Amino acid sequence: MNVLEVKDLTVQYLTSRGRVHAVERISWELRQAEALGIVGESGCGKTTVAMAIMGLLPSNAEVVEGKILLEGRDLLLLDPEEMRTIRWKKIAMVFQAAMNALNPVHRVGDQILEAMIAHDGELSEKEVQRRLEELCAMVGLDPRRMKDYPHQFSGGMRQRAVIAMALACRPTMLIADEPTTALDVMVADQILGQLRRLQVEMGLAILYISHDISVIARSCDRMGVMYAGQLVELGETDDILDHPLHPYTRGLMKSYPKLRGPKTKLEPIPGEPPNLMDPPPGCRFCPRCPDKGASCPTERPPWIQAMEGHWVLCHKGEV
Amino acid sequence: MASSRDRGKEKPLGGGAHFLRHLGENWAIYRKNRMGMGGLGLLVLFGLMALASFVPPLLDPMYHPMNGMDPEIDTSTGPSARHLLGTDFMGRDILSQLLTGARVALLIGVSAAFMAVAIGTMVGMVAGYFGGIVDTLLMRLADIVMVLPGLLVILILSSVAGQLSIWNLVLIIALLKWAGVSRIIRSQTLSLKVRPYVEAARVAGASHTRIMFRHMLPNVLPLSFLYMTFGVTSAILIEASLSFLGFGDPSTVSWGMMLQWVWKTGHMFKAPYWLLPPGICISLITLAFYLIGRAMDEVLNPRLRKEVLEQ
Amino acid sequence: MIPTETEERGPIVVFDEVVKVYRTTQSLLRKSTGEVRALDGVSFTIQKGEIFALVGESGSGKTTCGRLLVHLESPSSGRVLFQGQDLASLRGRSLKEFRRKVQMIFQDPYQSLNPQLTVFQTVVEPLLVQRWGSHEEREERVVEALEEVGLRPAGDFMFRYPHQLSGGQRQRVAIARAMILEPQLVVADEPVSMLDASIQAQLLNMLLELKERHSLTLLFITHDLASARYLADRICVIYKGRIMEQGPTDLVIENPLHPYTRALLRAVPTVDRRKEELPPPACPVDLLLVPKAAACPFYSRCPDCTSRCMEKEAPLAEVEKDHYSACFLHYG
Repeated sequence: MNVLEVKDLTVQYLTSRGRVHAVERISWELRQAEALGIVGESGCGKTTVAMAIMGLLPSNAEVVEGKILLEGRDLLLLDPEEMRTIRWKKIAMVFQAAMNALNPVHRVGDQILEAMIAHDGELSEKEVQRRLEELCAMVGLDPRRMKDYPHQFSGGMRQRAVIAMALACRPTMLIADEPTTALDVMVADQILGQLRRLQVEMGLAILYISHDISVIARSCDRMGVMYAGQLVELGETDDILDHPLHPYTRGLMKSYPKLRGPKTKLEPIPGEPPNLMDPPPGCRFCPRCPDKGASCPTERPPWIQAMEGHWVLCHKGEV
Repeated sequence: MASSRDRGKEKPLGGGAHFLRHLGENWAIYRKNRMGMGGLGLLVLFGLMALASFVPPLLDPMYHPMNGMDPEIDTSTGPSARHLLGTDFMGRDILSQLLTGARVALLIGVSAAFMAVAIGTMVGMVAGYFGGIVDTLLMRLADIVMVLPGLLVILILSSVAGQLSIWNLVLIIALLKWAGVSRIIRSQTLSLKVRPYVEAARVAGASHTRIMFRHMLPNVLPLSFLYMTFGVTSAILIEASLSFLGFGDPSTVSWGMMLQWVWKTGHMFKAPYWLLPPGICISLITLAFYLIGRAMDEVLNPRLRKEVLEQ
Repeated sequence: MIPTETEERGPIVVFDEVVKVYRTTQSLLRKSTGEVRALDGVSFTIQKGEIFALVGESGSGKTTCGRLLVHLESPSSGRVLFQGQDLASLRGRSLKEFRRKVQMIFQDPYQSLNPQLTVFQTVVEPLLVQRWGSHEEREERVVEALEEVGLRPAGDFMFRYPHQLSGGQRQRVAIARAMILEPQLVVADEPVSMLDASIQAQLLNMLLELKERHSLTLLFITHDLASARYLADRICVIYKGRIMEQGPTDLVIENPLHPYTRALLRAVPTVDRRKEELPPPACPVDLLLVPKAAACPFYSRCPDCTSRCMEKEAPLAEVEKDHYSACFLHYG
């Protein structure tokens, strides 16, 4: 059963200098109690997708095409009022560097309560307190610290508080945008572990967004790779990491120095991502691709299921 | 490609020289800012008025703002063919007074503001950059100056020294107003001091002077400019208030003076053609400098420019 | 630049019991009421021509070491030596000489370039400060430096402003600026951590190339063990201002001695790490007991700690050839 389905989503930004083709024909689904990771470098459009799902796109963004189905309802067709009822109660989000967005003049506990009350105002005083304690247990915070201010919390604790805020209304699905970027290695590890526990024990579906493949590798059952606004590969995490099909994915994997195993020379992908105001007509990765074919520069590559459950956007996708 | 040959020797000059060199580019950016163009337009208007102020007395001595005597009129009259804005209580032409007032306002405003900001910027940068005892001493001095009740000081000085000339006024305004600017510039300098690019300059071995003029000053100038625009308006207003209260320089005609005359001669509600023009001019010139300040911020701060879309 | 005969092989940098304390409150009248010991008795050496990685999390003191080495700050006690000379004794001409030989690459590409200056002006600055060459020579040198870091053709980039460049390009400019004086030692403080993976890889390779071509010594400061492993000849692990472990890269990675290093290795997410691993339990010793100031800084998170660890930190000792660890586990 799919919690969320994105179909052919295409988003463009209108700027004074032209149209930015930020996201082009993205399709994927997030199943119940599953962790799906979208990995891509800056500018690939992954945050735009998250914003589109949450209905938080800026005013100069235009959804040119596509559907976002949450339990069958198309979110893009909802008006702002309806979207507000969905937001936070069905889908919640932990934004990038959210731990820095905690209001420094309010106590942490109050901020979590606010998230609860703002979206679900009909809880009694007692219920609210009980829920707060529950949330603390879920994210690994000491309920006695709820009276503290954000600056008294460490980075990891603040991130947990933000996650608690996101879970306040028992959403079906959580979007975690770069959940560990500003954190130390060991703390990040704990946070990812905590999120995994939430997913497994509470059946929470989580969409991870990260530029770091290793975070996705560690936390996600399935993953998608985005490049220049397009989804270039989608499938089971282990499958993709062991058998990357798209040249970009392969290139990306070769860009990470390994901690174990033989020390091979890193082979980074030469060049830079394309300007999305004027993307290449055919395959957007073609200019940097070591494996160019004849039709690559001019024809949009097909979205093929190359192996069971493993999709790739490539002219040479047939394995 | 334009050769850097013609850029001449690199000297540790700050934003000033840099700004001049790129005047062409900067103008193109400024042009696109509507607020800035509006402000500039107003300023040009006042500039023209100031220039035009020399004309009326040449046409006919009776148009002299201070001494003009119209043989036929010796009271305040409304607009007419002879006197486009009417006359004041002595029969002098209001329009030529207005034009002269523009000249005076620009002179006083710009000079006083420029001096105040120049002093304040230097003091603030030195205090912020060197810290320690230098900082403490300079800031205590600034505190004392800030706390002085400006208008009162000027009033006392003028009653002690007799009538103050315009240039005395300019100097006094500058000496009173630099302190506020210095505090702001100091905190900006403090935050700049720890920016990695300043540290990179230290690591390369740059001297204190070089760092201050090359790295800090250009990043501090936008703030200085902004405060200069506030300074201009504030200087004009101070002068207007003083003149209005009767402490100005009686030998010059300023908008404030005009307002004083309207009031003192009891024409405030009787002669709108005399009351309104100087009042409106004061407001508009204030607005002009504010708008220019906002636009200058965009020119001086490359990041504010709406250029490349960062993905 | 070919090293002259008078420059010896051997340690080019020595940190000798360096302590750096920052006071948190200060006033002319009151004494300081709080302090942070960023470095608490750090000693290590860097050999000429090697890449030395200083690995630690935030707050470990690694950046402070870098700043002390480029003489942006001075130690509270202890000495930092470069080519045998105590940095505290540098003045005037010797200081200027030093500045030519030791340079730094900063972490944040968005803050390490002056937004008011063009690329050319930023990169030429060290030459101007050191009064190097004529105007034409300087221009040529800038072009060379930019092309060496991959900004080709230099003419396309020289007159751009930082906000017109991507993060990776900005960092290349920062590297060109650091390299333009042909220094002997470069301190790279997390030079790639704010960049995307593929750009990181490009720059890591570039650092290797530059090191080879210019016979550089490099102090590579990072929190990422994987890139430390890729670049470095030796790794030094630092935690809360004290060195936990130090040794040749392969030894430290394959056979980590100190519990902190082991915890760090376990926690690093890598592409090959898929299975869920539970974090190790915290120290079994009662945490309510207040540790002595000299205690091992890691004791509260260490699965192997004993009450001895709360009293005193083990001194750094050689456990196997060249491989040092500061832990009682390795004592009899």
